[in-house]
Amino acid sequence: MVPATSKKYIAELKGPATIPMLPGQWHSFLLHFMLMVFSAFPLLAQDLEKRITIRATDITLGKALERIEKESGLLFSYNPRKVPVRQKVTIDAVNKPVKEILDELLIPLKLTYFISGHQIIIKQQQKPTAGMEPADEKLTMHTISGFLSDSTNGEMLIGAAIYDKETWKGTITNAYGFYSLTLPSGNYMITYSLVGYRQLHVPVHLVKDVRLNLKIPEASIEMEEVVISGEKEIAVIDPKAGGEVHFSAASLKRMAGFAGNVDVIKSLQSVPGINAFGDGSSFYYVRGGDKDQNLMLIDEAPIFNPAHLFGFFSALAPDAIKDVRAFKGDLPASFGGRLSSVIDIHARDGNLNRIGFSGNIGIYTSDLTVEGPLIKEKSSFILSARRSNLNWLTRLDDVNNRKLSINFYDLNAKLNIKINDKNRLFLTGFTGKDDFSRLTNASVHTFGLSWDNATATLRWNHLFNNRLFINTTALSSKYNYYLFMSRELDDYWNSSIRAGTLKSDLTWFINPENTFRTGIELSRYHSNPGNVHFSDDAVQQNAPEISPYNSLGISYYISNDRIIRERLTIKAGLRLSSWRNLGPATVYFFDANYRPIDTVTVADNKYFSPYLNAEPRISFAYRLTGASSLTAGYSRTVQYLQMLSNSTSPFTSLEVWAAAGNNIQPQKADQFTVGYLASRQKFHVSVEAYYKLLYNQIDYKDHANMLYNPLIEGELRFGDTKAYGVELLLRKSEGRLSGWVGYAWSRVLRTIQDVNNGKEFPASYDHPNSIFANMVLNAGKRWDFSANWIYMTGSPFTSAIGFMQYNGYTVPLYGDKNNDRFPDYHRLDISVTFRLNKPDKGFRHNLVLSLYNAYGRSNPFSVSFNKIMDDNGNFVVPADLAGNVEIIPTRISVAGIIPSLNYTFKF
Amino acid sequence: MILEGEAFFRVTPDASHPFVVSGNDVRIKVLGTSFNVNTREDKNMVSVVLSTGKVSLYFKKNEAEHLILNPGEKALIHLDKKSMQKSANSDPNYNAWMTRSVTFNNTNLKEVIATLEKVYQTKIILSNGVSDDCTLTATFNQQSFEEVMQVIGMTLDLQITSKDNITTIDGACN
Repeated sequence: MVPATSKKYIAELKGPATIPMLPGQWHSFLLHFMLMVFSAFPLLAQDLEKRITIRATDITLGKALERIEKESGLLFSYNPRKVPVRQKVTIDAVNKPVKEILDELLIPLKLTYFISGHQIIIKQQQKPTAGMEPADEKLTMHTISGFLSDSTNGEMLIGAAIYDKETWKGTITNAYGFYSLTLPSGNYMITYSLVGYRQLHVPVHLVKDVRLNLKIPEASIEMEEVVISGEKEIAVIDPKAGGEVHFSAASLKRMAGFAGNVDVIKSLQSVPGINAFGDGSSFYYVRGGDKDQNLMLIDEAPIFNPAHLFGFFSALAPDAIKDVRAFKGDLPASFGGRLSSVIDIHARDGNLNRIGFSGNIGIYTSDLTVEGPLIKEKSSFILSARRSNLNWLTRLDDVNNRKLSINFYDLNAKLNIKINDKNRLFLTGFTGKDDFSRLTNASVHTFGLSWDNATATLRWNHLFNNRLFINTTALSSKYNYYLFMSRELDDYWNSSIRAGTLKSDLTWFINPENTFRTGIELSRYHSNPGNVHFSDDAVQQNAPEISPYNSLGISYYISNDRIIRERLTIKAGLRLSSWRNLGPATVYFFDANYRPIDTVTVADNKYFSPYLNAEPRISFAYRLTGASSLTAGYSRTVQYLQMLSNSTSPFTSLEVWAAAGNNIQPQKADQFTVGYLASRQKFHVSVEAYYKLLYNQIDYKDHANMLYNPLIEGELRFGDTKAYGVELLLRKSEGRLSGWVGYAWSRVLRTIQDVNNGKEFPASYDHPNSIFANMVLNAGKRWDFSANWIYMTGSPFTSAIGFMQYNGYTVPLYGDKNNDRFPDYHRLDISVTFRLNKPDKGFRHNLVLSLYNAYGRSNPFSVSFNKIMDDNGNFVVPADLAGNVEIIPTRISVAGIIPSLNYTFKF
Repeated sequence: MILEGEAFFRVTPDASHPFVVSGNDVRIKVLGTSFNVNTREDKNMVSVVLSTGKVSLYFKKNEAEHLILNPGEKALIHLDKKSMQKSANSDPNYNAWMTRSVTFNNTNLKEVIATLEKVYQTKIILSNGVSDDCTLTATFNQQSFEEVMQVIGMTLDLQITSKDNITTIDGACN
């Protein structure tokens, strides 16, 4: 502005001269000037429809364009040496759209024009290549391809639409920012669109293959809408069924997480079809699927337990996330291994242009991220660390000298190396750990719980040519769970799972109507279902050893995306998955009454219980008008690994991963969906109904012993689950006020042999009605408000239908399983962000105040029919100790109002 | 008021208290007007372009030999020769550094760059490969530097690269 543009400006009041231009006037002048800047008119495509009147005979083209500029307010830009400005033209337009005037004026002169932001750019029509007949030109196909990145930090942009606006033929950038668009020879105006970014229109004269690596700037919320990309048009290029949810890092950041932390899982738990368990839990249930039927991937590596602090936090440092995509139905064939959902998280690659720092200091957790280039614009690194700061809380609880400590941390590191234009490498590492200890007043031993996750991924992107992209990944992931009986003696129970995978995914962008993908995946799993470790060798010798699971999974898939007659998009895929278990192993056989009848020892390197399954998947999207579509889909999924946990606790507790084998059949699911989606301006509505059948589902016998039991498979009961529901979602994705409201009606009914006498019963995560509301308000330059409200029908549980007296004890009698329900669950979270300086500054810092469960709803976590004693031996619920008839149900809630304050910074 | 550099003035009339701008040895006396003063391009030269109203120009301690400027007129004042020269203002972008409305009419790319460098206070390098007779006709209305460069790049088929606040232009100029 004025002061900035006149650096050498020195103004000084002098002598008797009166300066009528008072500071106040300067101020109002500046203000006036700023208003002018922000009211600069945007140029919309419909501005070309503006009607003007010009009548002029034999004027030069230059003059004619000046007249049009004046009458219409449009701005031109051209090369006067290539545009025949002296050419005499005649315009006779009365109340005529500008577009028609321009067409009549420019086309006969072999000129073309296109819009970029505010300007109409006029260019010469490209001459067709000499000797090529126009008919031949139509038949010749050429490819525009390249990588799309953010202009400031160089991050590759995922899910951007690249299309020809005339024909709406286009493509979407893949997970590595690559796109490939093959079109017949000709002149195109290619539009590059990604929500939250400036829209770019690039004229392409396509007579040979074109490589276009583009950097696009992020759009601020204040920017005029015309230059910002909208979701609506992207939806036309890539019609997604209602079963796919996408969050960019920018949209996640604006939502209310937990305790000032951006939280992927908690954000997804406010989408219809993805149900939370309850307060604080990181468990989620997707369309009737159990909690172990969700695959969560960080840069393609599976995370077995994404929970911190029993689930109050999820194990991902917020500043390390770039993009989150969740599939709750119509799973692409490239994903496998879980029945119900995939959450595909891509970590940030790190700033390619400069060193940057960001972080958060909070009352519960603090984190720091550092990133920057190793070789400018070629390779970069990012390192994020987070640790908890909770022990001041436990000091408040330090009664009776019981020492309690709670700690967790996580670390994300990533290297991104561009070898050349055709090869890139990405190396990602993640590790996280939780540790909980408590010295009980009853003993000298310290009880403890701890779990940790670690993953490492190496990915190699290779371009065979402009249309053939391959990514090869080698990864490992492991998860350990420890239950310490005594930390002093180092006595513990431990279960673990390790996975190692080698996979390759190839995409062939044949043309905008036809994309072919194929891939192969080899995975090796090792699961320790829980063994004990005693420091005393004598005790250890007597402890039985539980045989681990060793398995090998090989999968292969092909898929083809087709667009037929511009309206019908078909995505069809087939995944073939195989599974085999490897020795050494001890395999038990059970009779019809679940008693062990035989034991077989399998030798090293021998395999047993192989399975082979076909998983067909198909989805249809039929575009009705503009951006509204009808969708339908079918998918079959197979799962070979399951988490056995006979607990309805919402928190991480004794977890055992078991492989499909002779006792456990692979779980299978068939899901059918139909839906409708529509976009109008900034509003998007989707309705989707699903019907899902899940086979070989696992349940447990009464009083099942899951801990340290060699015959654990005999404790399992099997059956089927039937799930169905309708999900409604109304969303506003752009503008200062954004968010959604959603409703889901859903049922999950199980039929398990020898459980509930084989009768159907509602699953413990059956929530027939749920309502979701999520709102983000960007109020001016300094304030952001967000709120998230969830309501769901209470979870089912089994309550006693009566009590009997037996030897002086009151014994409960149970009827049907899950015959009762908890009170309804509802909760409001709010968060307020105050920016401590203006958003355009290099150093940005904010204060974030958030309230979890803002109105302090006591959502029950468990109901107990016993008389509960506190640590001092007093009854929590005053009861008649002498009486043995009165049974008072008591319920426990875990979370009251949880306030938090965080200071975040970025520079 | 003493001025070095460039400024745009908008002054409310007040006959009893004339407003005088001092630029080097030059004095500009004002009776309600708006005008642009530039002393930065050449230290021996001051240019004054009048938008509205009327100004009187004279050298320090020599108010009798004054020059009256009318709207749309430009005065070039040679400080070393103590002379003033009046002409019609031919530069439509004389106050673009403030309004950020820039107009080019068959303007040589070198001049385009000089104007944009002034308006956006940035450094632009023109590569040798770009032909000398590259010209542009375009109007920009309060647009960001990035957008202006993008449009120029697309109009003339030039590659625009930005690094450390220095923009480089390269390409064919078609």
